[in-house]
Amino acid sequence: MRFVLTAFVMLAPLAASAQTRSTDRLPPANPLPPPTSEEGQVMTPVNAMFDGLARRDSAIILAAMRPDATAMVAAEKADGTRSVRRLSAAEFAAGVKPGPERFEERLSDPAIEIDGDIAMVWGPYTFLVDGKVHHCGVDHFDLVRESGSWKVANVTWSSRTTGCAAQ
Amino acid sequence: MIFLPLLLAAAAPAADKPPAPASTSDAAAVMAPLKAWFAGIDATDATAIRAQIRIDGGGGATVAVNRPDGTKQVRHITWEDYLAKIKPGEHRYHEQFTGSPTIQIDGDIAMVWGDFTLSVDGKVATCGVDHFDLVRENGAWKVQNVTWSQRTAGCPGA
Repeated sequence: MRFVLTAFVMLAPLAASAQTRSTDRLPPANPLPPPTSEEGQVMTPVNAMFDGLARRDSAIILAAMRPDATAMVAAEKADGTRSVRRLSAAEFAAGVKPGPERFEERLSDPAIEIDGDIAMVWGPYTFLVDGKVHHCGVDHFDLVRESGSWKVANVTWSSRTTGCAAQ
Repeated sequence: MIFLPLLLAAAAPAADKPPAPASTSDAAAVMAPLKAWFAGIDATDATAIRAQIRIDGGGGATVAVNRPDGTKQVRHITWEDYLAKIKPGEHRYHEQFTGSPTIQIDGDIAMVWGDFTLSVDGKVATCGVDHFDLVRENGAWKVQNVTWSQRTAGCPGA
C-alpha cells in the first residue's frame, strides 16, 4: 500500500475541490458560471486540475495545461532525502488513473499575481487520501493566457510528509 | 531581529498558512542565479546563462508578447533555442528589475516575480514582468522555467 501511495505522490499530488469534502460521492457535473474577476479566471485552470485529480480524469487535467507544459516536484522524504523530478504534461496526466482512493487537494490562501497575459499562483496545500492528510507543501502555478483562455504552462510543488497540518 | 521570526516561519509547516515573506539571506540565494543570468545577458555569454538553468530536456522560456499594433502572441521555446539566441552581435543588451521583485520560497522550490526593462544599446526597448520558477538541488538554486510578458508601450525610462 505504501508503495502504491509513493507512486502517486510523485505523479498526482494535486486534487479535489471543496465540493467533495463532505461526501464520498463526486459532485454533479454542473459547473459554476465562469468567474468574472481576473483572479477567478486565473484560478479556473488551477481548480480544473484539482477537479481532474479528484475525478481521476486525465483529460480534464490535460485540458487545463498547455501541450508543452511540465510538472516539477521537489520531494522531501521522511528520512530527509530529497529529489527533484520533472514530468511532461502527458506523463503527469498519465499518472492520474481511475482507482478506489479518494484524492483531495486543498490550496489555502494562494498569492495570485497577474500581468497582461501571464500569471502565477503560489500557495500552501495539503493532499488528502480518503480524507486523511497524506502530504503537504506549496503549489506554484505558472500560467499564460492565449486566445482569452488561461492555461497552466508549468506547475511546480514541494512535497513533504512530516509536519503537515492536521486535516 | 526580524530575520529570526522569518526563518522560524519558513521552517514551520507550510500547510494552511498564508505564504510568508522570504528571509533576506534565503532571498539572496534565490536571486543569485538571476543576477548571474542578467550579467550573462550584459556579456552576451550563453555559457554563463546556461549555468543558471536546470537543463533536463524540459521547461524553457515562455513569452507573452503584446505588440504595438495590439496583436498578441504566446510563444514557448526550449532552453537550447533560447540559449542559441544569446550570441555576440552588433547590439548591446541589458536587462534589469525595475523594482523589488516578489520572492517566495518553500523548501527546494522558489519563485521570483518582478517588473523588468530590457534595453538595447542603452535605450529601453521592451518591458514587462519576469516570472522565474526555480528549484534547489544539491544546495544550488537553478531556473527550471521562465515566463515573461513583453510590451513596448508605457515602459519606464523609454
